[in-house]
Order: sequence, then C-alpha cells, then structure tokens
Amino acid sequence: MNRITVTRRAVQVVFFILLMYGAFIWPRHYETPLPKVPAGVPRTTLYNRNRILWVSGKESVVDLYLPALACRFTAKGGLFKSCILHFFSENFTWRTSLQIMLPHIVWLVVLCLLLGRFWCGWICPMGALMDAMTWLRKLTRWRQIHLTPRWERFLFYLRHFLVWFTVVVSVLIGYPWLGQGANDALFLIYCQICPARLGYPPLGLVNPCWTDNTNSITMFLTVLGWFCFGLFFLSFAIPRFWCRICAIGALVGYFNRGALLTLEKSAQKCTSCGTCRRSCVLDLDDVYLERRRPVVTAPECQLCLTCLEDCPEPGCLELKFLGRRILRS
Amino acid sequence: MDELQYFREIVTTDRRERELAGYHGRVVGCYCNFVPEELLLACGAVPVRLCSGDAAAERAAEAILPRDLCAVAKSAAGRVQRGDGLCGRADLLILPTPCDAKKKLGPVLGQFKPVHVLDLPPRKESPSAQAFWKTQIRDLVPVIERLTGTPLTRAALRQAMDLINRRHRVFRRFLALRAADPPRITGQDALFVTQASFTDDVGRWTTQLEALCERLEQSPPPAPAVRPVRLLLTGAPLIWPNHKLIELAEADGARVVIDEFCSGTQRVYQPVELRETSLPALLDAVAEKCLLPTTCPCFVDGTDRLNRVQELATTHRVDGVVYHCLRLCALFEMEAQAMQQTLRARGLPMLSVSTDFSAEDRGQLQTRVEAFVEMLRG
Amino acid sequence: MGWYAGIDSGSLTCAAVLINDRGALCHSEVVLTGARSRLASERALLQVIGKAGLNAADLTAIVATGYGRERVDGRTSAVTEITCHARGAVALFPQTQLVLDVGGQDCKAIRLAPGGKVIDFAMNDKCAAGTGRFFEVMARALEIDLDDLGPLALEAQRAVGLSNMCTVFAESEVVSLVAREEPVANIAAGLCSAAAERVRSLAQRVGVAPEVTCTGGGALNSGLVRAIERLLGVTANVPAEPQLVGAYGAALLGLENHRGAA
Repeated sequence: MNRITVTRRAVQVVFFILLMYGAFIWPRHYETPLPKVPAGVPRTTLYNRNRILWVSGKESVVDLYLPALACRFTAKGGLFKSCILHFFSENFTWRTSLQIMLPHIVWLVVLCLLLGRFWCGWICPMGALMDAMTWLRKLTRWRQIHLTPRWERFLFYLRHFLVWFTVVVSVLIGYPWLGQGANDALFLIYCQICPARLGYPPLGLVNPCWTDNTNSITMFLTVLGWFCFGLFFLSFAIPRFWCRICAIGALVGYFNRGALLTLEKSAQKCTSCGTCRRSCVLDLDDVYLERRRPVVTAPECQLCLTCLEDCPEPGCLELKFLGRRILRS
Repeated sequence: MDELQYFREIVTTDRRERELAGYHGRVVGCYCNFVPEELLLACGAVPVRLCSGDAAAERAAEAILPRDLCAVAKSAAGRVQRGDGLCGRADLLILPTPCDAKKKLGPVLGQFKPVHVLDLPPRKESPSAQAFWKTQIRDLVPVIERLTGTPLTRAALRQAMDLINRRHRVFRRFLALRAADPPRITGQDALFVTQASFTDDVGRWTTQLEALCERLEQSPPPAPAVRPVRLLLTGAPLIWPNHKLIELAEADGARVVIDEFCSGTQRVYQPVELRETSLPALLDAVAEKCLLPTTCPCFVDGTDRLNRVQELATTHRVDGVVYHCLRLCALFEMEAQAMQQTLRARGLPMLSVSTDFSAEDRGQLQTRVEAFVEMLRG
Repeated sequence: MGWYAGIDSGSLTCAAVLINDRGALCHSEVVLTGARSRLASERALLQVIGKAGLNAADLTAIVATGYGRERVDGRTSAVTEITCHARGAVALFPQTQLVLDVGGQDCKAIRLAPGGKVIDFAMNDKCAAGTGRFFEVMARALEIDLDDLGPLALEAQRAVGLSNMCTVFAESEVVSLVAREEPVANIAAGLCSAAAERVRSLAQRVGVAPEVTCTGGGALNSGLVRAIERLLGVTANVPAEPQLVGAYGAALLGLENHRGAA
C-alpha cells in the first residue's frame, strides 16, 4: 500500500540529510582552485561575495554539482558543490574557461538526461521541505488551494524568464562595462532571491546573510529575497509552490522530455477517470489529457509517481528507463 | 450456486422492496451512473438505481409519453407512474440529463414524485464542463441534507467513499474471474451481479460478492468440451428483465466474458483515490469520478468508449463484439459505425443488432447472433 | 454408404436435400411451409428419403437450418442459414467472395474470405421489403405468375420508380400503376430494381466483391439478378437451383462434421 510514496519519502529523508548535513558527517572539504582569469580582466565579485551571500568559508565535501538544490550556502558548505544554476551563473560571471567547465557541464547534462526532473521529486531537499509542509497541512486538515490557470501561466513565464535572466546577467557582469558596483550587487542574482539561501543555513544552525544595504540594488534584492522566502511557505497551502517558480527546476525541465527515465501512458488502457490529475502535486494535466503519444513526462513533471501509484488501471502508467519497465500502475 | 442465487433474488424478486418498506430513513431513486451514491450514503439516505427494462411498464408509459421514445425512458416513467416497487418507496428521484429523453423526463416524473435534475454538460473533457458539473454536485448537497436532515461531514463522506471503493475493488477481483479461460461465470449471471448493485445495500452486496469470488476461485474451473466463443457486449444497456440479447448470445455455447454496459461493468468499476481529504476536495473527486470515466455516448467525443472496448477485448481475450443498439436511441447507433471501423482495423469482428424490449424479434435476433457465433467459430 | 440430409426450413418454403458421402447432391424436395414449419419439414424430409428409397435410420446426419431450424424433428444439429448458404455457395462456386441470399422473408449479404470462411454478414430488418414474399404479393397484384415476373422485367423499356418499398404500400401503388395502364413489364422491372437497391445496400455494408453468388428463391427471378448485377457492376453466379443452396450447405456441414468427428 502506497509503496511508492513510502519509498520516496525514505529517499527524500536520506538525501535531505546527505545534502544538508553531509559536510558534518564527512568533514573533508574540497578546496576549489581559484578559476584562471586572463590577465588584465578585473576579478569582479570573486572576492566580494562573502559580503552579499553567506558562505561557510568552506567549500563542499566533493567537487560535484547536482541538478537539484544542493546549495553551496548550506552550513559547512554541504556535501555537493552547488545546484546547476549556481554553477552556470558563477562560472559565466568568472568567465571560467570552457576547459575547466566542460567536465562539470558533461556531468550535469548526463545527470539531467538520465533522470530528468526525478531530481526535483526525489532528491531536492527544498522539495522534501515543501512535501513536509503539505504533510503538515493534511495532518491539520487544511484544504489545498488550487492556482487558477492564469496564475499557472504567469508562473510558467516567470520561471523561464528567471532562467534566462540569470544566465544573461551572469554573462554581462563578467565584463567590466557595468562597473564594480553593479557587478557586486548582481552577482549570483538568482541565488540572492532563492529561498534556499535564507532557508538552508538556519537548518545548519548558522545565520544566512539576512540583509545587504550596500546600495539600492542590493537593498531591493534583499527585500525580494525575503519576499520569495515568504512565498516558499505558501507551499503549505499550495503543494510545492516554489517548484512553480524555481528556475533550477525549469532549467532541468528542458531535459525532461529527452530524459532516459520516462513516464509512459497507454492511451487504450486509460479510462479518463482523472485520478492522475487529482493526484498530481503540481496540478499537471498532461498525463490526463495525453491521448496519442506514450511519453507523458511534461517539462514540469517531477516523476514523483503519485499518479502512477493512484492510477486504478493496471499497466496504464509505466515508469521506464531506456524503454525498460521499472514500475507500473 | 447459493452465492449466485442471492444476486438473482435481489434483481428478480421484491426482496429489496420488502426490506426497505420497514426502513425509516430516506430512499433516493437514481437514474444512470452519474449520481454520486457516496454523497447520498454519507447523508444517511439509501440510493437505489431505478433504471428498468420492463416492457409492461414501457407500454403503460405510452399514456403519458410519446410512443416513439426510447424504451429505457418510457419504462422508467411507466414504473414511476404506476408506483412499482421501489419507485413507490423513493422519497426523491435524482435524474441526470444525458439524452433528450431523460432531459424531458424530469417534468413527467415530477407529476408523481419530487425530482431533482442533475444537468450534464455535453462534453466531459473541457475544463468549463468539469467546473459546471462540480457545481451541479455541490448544489446537490443541500438538497440531500434537507431531505435527510443530516448535514454532510467530511468523515461521513470519507467513510462512504471507502465503502464504495471496497465494493469496486471486489468487483475488479470478480472481473478477473470473467477474464479467465474458460470464464468462471456466464455473462448473464455477471449481469445479475452488477444489477443487484442497483438496489442492494452496498456493504451487503460487497460481502456477498466476496463470498461468490471465494467460491468461484476455489471451485475447479469448468472444462467445456469445446472452447466457448468469447464475446464482448457493448452498446445500449441491458437492464432486467430485458436480458433477451445476452440470453441469446449465450444460448449456443458462447460466453459473454465481459460487457461494457452502464448497467453492467461500468456501474461498479471506478474507485476514487483519497489523497486530498478536505470536504471540497472529496466532493470534487466524487464528482469527477461520476463524470469522467463514463463512456455514455451522450458526450460529444466517443473516443473513451472506443478505447475501453478495445482494452476490454484485449484483457478478456475476446473473439468478437456484439453491439447492442436500442431502437430510438440515436446516440448508441451513431457511435456504432466508428466502433465497427475501429474494431475492423484491429481484426476484431463486430455484430451490430438493433432491438428493443419486445420479444417479437427474438427469432431474427437469434439468427444474427447465432450466425455471428458460427462465424467466429469458423 | 452414408447419407446426409439438409433441411432449410424457411418462412415460405421448406427445402430438403440428400447428399451422399462424396458430397454430391442426390435428391431434393421443396414444399410450402404453410402455418406449421414442423410439419412441413417433416414432410419434406420424408419425401426426399422416400425418393432415395431410404429410411430415416439410414441418415448419418440431419442438419437443420433456416428460420424454423429449431422446430425440425430428428435433427442432429441446427446451423443458421448464413453459415449454410455460405457453405453451399462455396461448394458450387469455390471462388465466391460475396453471397447474396434473397429468401422468402429476408435477404442477407455474406462476405467470405478466400477459402470460404464467413468474415461478415448483414441482414435486412424485420420487414419483408424486397424478399420472396414481396415478389409473391406483387405478382398477384400484377395478375401474373411469379415465375414470369423476372423474364417480363427483362423485356421492359424502362423501370418504373416506386415510391415505397413496404410490401403493403407497394402493393397498392402497383395496383394503381396497373390501373393507369403502365406496361406490366415496366412495373416488374421497377420492382426488381427497387428490390436490388435493398440488396445492394446490404452488400455495401459487408463490402462488394467481384465474385458474387446469388442464392435463395429470389435468385430464380432473372430480372432481380440482372438488376443486382447492374447495380453492383458484377456478373453474378446463379446456381441451377438456388433455392436449395441453404439445405445443400447444411447437408455438407453435416458431412464435414461427421468426417471431423470420425
């Protein structure tokens, strides 16, 4: 009974502990060599980020990035180095040479192509926190709030805007034209508003960088960061609300349709009962609506598999890896 | 078999009528499968489905209805007009509006009993249609609450949903026995089982079906000399006592291994999950359950039934499909061609027969069905 | 030597045939069914075995078909006329792909796969329009012999259009046409094309094929057969005694069944 959900909760707890407290368990901190910067190019914000973003002073245990919110601002630096978006924004700004970036990019793309947004549903500690909030809500018998399609639409545009805005800003501030002040203020722009930056450190009993009143931009981003941190708690009423804004997930989502791990549906077995849609944590209707193509992993689908678990038709929904069935309804 | 006899008794005798005569609560008569029984049970009412295949009642209704109207609608009206059995006992009738006949039946039945009409949208897959239907179900709540004097609570609805879910889980176990080769039960007996659920107490029906499943699973499988031809029945519902077609289909050693009728398999098939358990979420889930998986041809798009029949044909290893058109029900007849084409493309033969409640075309029908079975036997 | 009987107990006539164990048609008999099909089939059977000089006990199998197949006494099995007509037509014309049977009170189109297996069939509704009964009534209205209706239709200058195919209404229409001094041949041709229309719509439901065999008493009507050929654009095979095809098929099925069992 509910075997998938039970397994998923267990996996989430394990990875939550690993990603949040791994550095406490294996205190072997990896020292990243400073990126090579061509002579004559200012090192921009490289040395100033401590002022904007809290860091433990330590790097991660392993020099690996993950396509999930394995945040570098976790207490003691965390087990993994950072999330996929942090990787890009940091290294674009530093104008890290492709030679250094390539192995990491290959690693990240391989992870994304292997599992798609399975990372969000099963590994991400932020996701686990939001699921915990949903669990609390059900325990206290509050009702779920559904976003209207217009809001969903708006958030869709917002998260994709955030992905590309972050990339563009990261590249731009890597060049000296914008000036040191802007560079300092806009460095890791997405991290500055990401709820993990404010949320993760307190879970390791350290303070994040709550405020930054250097200039008007940093003050604005501080307030925006608090606002987003508040939005994160909306997940109590709207399951996994931050996932609907999260640019990291949106970025990983670009790989979701092509990933080797797929959710597939047999249209003939489907009775259109709508159970999958009601079960879906993110209110997705792709599984319900699909009538022709077998693969139903939408860019937003996190492969949490509640639909597969609840589907009353045997074999209608299947989780496949490289075409081989792993699970079926 | 005693276990089977129980279901036959519920369908063919006035046992339920006698039982409910001494019952002090409210009895609510329902038509079709669109009425959320969970809601009625949660408010303490007894839901009974009053659809009928009674030819005498059909003729009686010609006093108040036009003659050229589908037999199901006429017979339903005839029974209410005459106050037959549970139609006399019902305190309220809930009438969904799938087709024109049912739509206009509201005022007719209203002459004899209080009627609540549930408006169905003309298509079920669009968001606006679903929103509309959920409103219909939400609006039904105060009607039932006023009738029974019991307010709807979250706990009661959940309990009722559990009860119905249990019923449908057992039914799926029963379906596996029909899918077996050779099938463990005749199609007509299976129709008695599902049609007993029209009026029977939900819990008792479930227990009885569990016993029947147990019995069938344990008894040695029948060993017929020749493998019976396996038929699937779809189209307009056969409702007791109009079992003519299924009797003829099985007379010659063929077995109806599965039906796709709203009066048969569909009736007790769909479970509903309980992931969000607030009262509005439960109500919405029940509303969707009553609307979305139905394959009634009253909706614009008939793809669901095409899929359903193909799927059942696969899982139950069917040799041929018999499509029942009820005379004067254009909806089923209009979908017959699409069904024929779909099945032909899959190499599955289909026989379409058009009939009504009368017995006069029995010979004709028999020739067709028998020839079809002979054809399948090859 | 084994003998096999096939009895086609139809609504108008009851045909009985006797075949030997090589499948050759040896004797046949057609009687009018009348009100009691049980008696008619008994009479037909007795007459046919009488012709052969046999007793009922000499018959290895008696296969009944047709509308009254359940009321044939002494039958070893009952098979529907669709299977029997198909079997009989294939035995006479092995290339047959489509059998059009115009019987006493119904018509059918039977589609066959190569090899003679039935793959689809269609029957008219419970209405005698365009069947043997229809022609019987019309011949009476035209005051001609039923056997003359077909040849007469072939001589027609043109076919009269009929507004109604219901036997009852068509009869009164024919009567008024006769009264208007419309040539009988033209009316007969009109009746034949109207009936052929019905057969065509049945044939189209199962799929028209080039190799068509017409069976049943209706195939005795040359005008009807010609009209069907014209509408379908084919040349139809017509057996010498089309009214026996059902009974012949039934007897063949009895023979094959017996061989299969042995």
